[in-house]
Amino acid sequence: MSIFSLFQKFLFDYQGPFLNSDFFNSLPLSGVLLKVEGEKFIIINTTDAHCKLTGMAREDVIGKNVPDAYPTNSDDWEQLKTSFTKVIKTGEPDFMETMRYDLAESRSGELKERYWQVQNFLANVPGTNEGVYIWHFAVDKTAEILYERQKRVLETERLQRTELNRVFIKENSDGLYSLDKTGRFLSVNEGLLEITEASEEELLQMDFLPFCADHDRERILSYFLKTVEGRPQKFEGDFVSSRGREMILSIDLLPMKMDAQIVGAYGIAKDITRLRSSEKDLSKKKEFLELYSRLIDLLVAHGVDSKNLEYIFGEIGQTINADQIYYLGAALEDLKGNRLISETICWSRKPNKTHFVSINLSWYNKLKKIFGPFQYDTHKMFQPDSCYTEEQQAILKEKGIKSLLLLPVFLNNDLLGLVGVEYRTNEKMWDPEEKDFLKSLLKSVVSFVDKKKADLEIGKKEEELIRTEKKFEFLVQEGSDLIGILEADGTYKFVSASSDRVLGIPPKEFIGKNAFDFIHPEDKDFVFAQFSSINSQKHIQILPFRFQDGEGKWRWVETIATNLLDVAPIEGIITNSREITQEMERNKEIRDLNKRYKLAAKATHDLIYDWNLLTDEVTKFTDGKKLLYGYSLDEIEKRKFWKEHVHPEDREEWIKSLHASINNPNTDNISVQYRFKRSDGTYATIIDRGQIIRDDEGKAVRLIGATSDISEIISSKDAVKLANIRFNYAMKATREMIWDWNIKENIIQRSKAFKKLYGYDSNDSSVERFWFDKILLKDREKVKESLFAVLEDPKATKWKREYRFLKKTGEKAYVIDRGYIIRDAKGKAIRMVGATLDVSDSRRMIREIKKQNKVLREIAWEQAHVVRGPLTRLKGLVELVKNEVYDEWNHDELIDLISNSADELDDVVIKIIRKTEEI
Amino acid sequence: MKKNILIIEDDAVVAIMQKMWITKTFNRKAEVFSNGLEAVNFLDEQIIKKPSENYLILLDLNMPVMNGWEFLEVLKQRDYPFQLAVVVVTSSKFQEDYERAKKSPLVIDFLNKPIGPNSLKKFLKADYRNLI
Repeated sequence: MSIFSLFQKFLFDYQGPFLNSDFFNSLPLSGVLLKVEGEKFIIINTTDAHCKLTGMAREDVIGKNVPDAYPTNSDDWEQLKTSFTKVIKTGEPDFMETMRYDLAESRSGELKERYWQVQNFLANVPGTNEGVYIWHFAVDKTAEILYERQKRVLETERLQRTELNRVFIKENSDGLYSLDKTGRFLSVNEGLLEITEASEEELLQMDFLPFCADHDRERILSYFLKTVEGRPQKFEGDFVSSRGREMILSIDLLPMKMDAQIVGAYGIAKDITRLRSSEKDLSKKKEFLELYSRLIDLLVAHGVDSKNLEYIFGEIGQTINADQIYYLGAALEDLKGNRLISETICWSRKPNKTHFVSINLSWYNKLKKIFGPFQYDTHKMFQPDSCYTEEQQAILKEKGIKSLLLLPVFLNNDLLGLVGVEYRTNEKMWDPEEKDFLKSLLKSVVSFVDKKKADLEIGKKEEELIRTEKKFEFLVQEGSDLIGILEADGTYKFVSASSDRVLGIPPKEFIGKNAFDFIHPEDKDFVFAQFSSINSQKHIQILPFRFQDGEGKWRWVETIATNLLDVAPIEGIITNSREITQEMERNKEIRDLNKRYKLAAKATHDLIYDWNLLTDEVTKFTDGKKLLYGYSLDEIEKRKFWKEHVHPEDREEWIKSLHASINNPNTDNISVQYRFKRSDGTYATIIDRGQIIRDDEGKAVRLIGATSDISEIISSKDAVKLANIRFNYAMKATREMIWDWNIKENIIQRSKAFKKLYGYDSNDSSVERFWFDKILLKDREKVKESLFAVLEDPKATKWKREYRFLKKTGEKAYVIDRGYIIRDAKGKAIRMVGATLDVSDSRRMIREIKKQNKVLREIAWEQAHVVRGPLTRLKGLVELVKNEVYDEWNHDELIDLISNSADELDDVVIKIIRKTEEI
Repeated sequence: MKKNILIIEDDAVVAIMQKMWITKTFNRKAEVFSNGLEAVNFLDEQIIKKPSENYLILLDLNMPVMNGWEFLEVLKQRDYPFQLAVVVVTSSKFQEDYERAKKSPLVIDFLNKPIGPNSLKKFLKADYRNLI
């Protein structure tokens, strides 16, 4: 129980009589009785202890509000006020372990930092029934708090000092020490232990001399002696640690005095080995850089070749103190076959040159075999003691190599060769800088080689280009086509040499002349019109026109013109002309034939007639021939003669069409073809053309006509040709792919339909690889079996098979494949010609029909069974009713059964109707 | 020797009618089975009980469990000691059924439903009297 609690209890029990008594005043605690008046806390009384603590007389504070009686910082008062308010609100006591409430010093009036332990609680004041009273008790904690604070400050300071000590002395990497006059260690720090690599005990029993490098001991000693003579010294020296580590130390020595006597020296030792060695590195790097730039200058100026490389190797060798540097690998040649880089390039240190193994390709192969494989940008380093294999070790020892560095040379991902750096006299400790330097130098050299190679490639390509140009020139000059370059107005700038051969005009005769001067007058206009459109079209094909040759003959030419007026080396219109005289003449023949046919049909009438349709009188004219179709004119004049000689099969049609034309008022012409019996019994094919003359009402009154014998034309070759063309067209339209298989050489040729039908563009002529592979797996073996069986049967002449074939689109094609086998004298199949017909459509239809048939059959079956089930039952039951057979069921029962059967039948019929709709 | 008459028919009404007409026409009794399997089970039992009996079977084709065709197949496989004659009775007017039925050596005739006195009489005339 705290002193507050005790006091609180006491006040509650006894407070009344003591409120303003001496007893209260003399309570040993600092206490105040407050009366709450709104926002104010009026002091009613204070204890003596409180007066003493605060330095304020009781009479000066009684009746005053607390902050007025004890002025303080607003924060301090707010904190106290909050506590009072809390007590009033809750009715519970409020305790604060420490709170600040500064009080003014009586002398200066300045606020002084004060800390209090505080307890506030409600007071029950006897005799005063109204108002709220608060007891406020406080214990002065200022000294305690300030002491704690001071302690913390001191502690922090102490810690800081310790840390400093640790950092500056104990953990100082510099060696701090003291020596007596003889040079023995008196004290040492951690730093020195680390530098010397000795223990404190060891050091304290020895002097510094054993740590001096042999060569530097005298000098170092002289510095020490100067120090103990009273002169501070600063110097750098070479030292050795107790474990033999060589180091450079910077030493500061100061005389150590005691009672004005020099008793020894204080020393500071700094390890500056790394600093000095990095300075050494720097100078080495500088050297490397200088060498590097020198070598690059050399490469830039003179390119890469064996001689330069040897020089470069020498420079490097001198710099890194190597005994031998070499390149071994592929050679590089220029266009003329001159060797730029040899297979072997070697530099050796002169005095030793003769002692070394000869560097040749067999050494290269050995290196590759024993020390390989090599990777791009990855060097390999070997010493007899640090080899991966015994073989490597053996060869190094055998050749007396103490260090070997191998740098692979890669060009376009291929190992071109190896650069080897050998040390034979001394073992080499490679610095990373040295290796990096070598690697990067080598890379530069390789890039020069690469460039050289690329230059060579370009050279090669240029040469090829020149050759191609020559080839082009040759083609232009020697080709059958006529090539010309024209100015925009058609003036020749250039004509290929072929003009001499094709037209009999040497090229030079064209130059300066206008192309239109050579063109046939009839063709000039349209050629000019077409040629003019070149400005907008760039590329035009001019229709065939006639061009005059050296002998003045007209030659048909077909020309393609290209506008290259804007293209620098040409600046003209290129014309490419082809002579097509022969083709044109052939076309002309065809045209003439047509013409002849037309003329024959139009002009050469065998018989001209004038038929009066009203009187049915016919007047006939012939062209003077005595006999027509073998008959005399008299015979022909006979009535019905004509009709009787028309071929019986054509007669009806002839008459019919005659009547139809005559009776149609809109028809004025008539043209009928029929066969007419000659006197020798053979039939001539006749075209009978007539002009119908009608009266005002449109009624036919006369027919003037002519017959022509076209038998010859019909049977002529043209008809056959026509048929062939038709056949070809038909072939194109067919769904068949024709193939011709040379079995002996296993080459198959397929018609164009192959691509069209199956989508394959392949020219693969292998049956095995190409065709069989595309046959559906399920069918493949059967197809092959049947085909080979037929081929092996010497009597078989045909093969036919239906199978499925996979189109390029992935679709299945149903094909019927059939072929005719051609055999040699021994009956061996040597060739097979066939056709593959795509029957996918019909197969699909068949499949659909089959599917439909299945449904239909199901319907039929249902009709047969399911419908007729209830139906036959019905019939049976009706029969019973009809015959009044009531053995099994009475009349009503039968009627019920009939009704049920009728319902069942109805259901079945509905189902069938639904199913039918699905078809 | 007259045969026992078995009717295999799934339609109960039709079966009753058939049985009735057989009784009325031939004054004979008949056993009714609602599918092929029931009849097979019956025949299997008869192998031991009455192995010397003979049967005339009126067989419907379209039935559940075991249809007429399956029943004929079973008869073919089972080496029954009985003399068997099958008359296919069906509502089917399906030519295929008719052709197929003819192929079975046990099938002696083919009757269309409904069976009435007339068709049975015709059947008698067709020299099958001895069977009944």
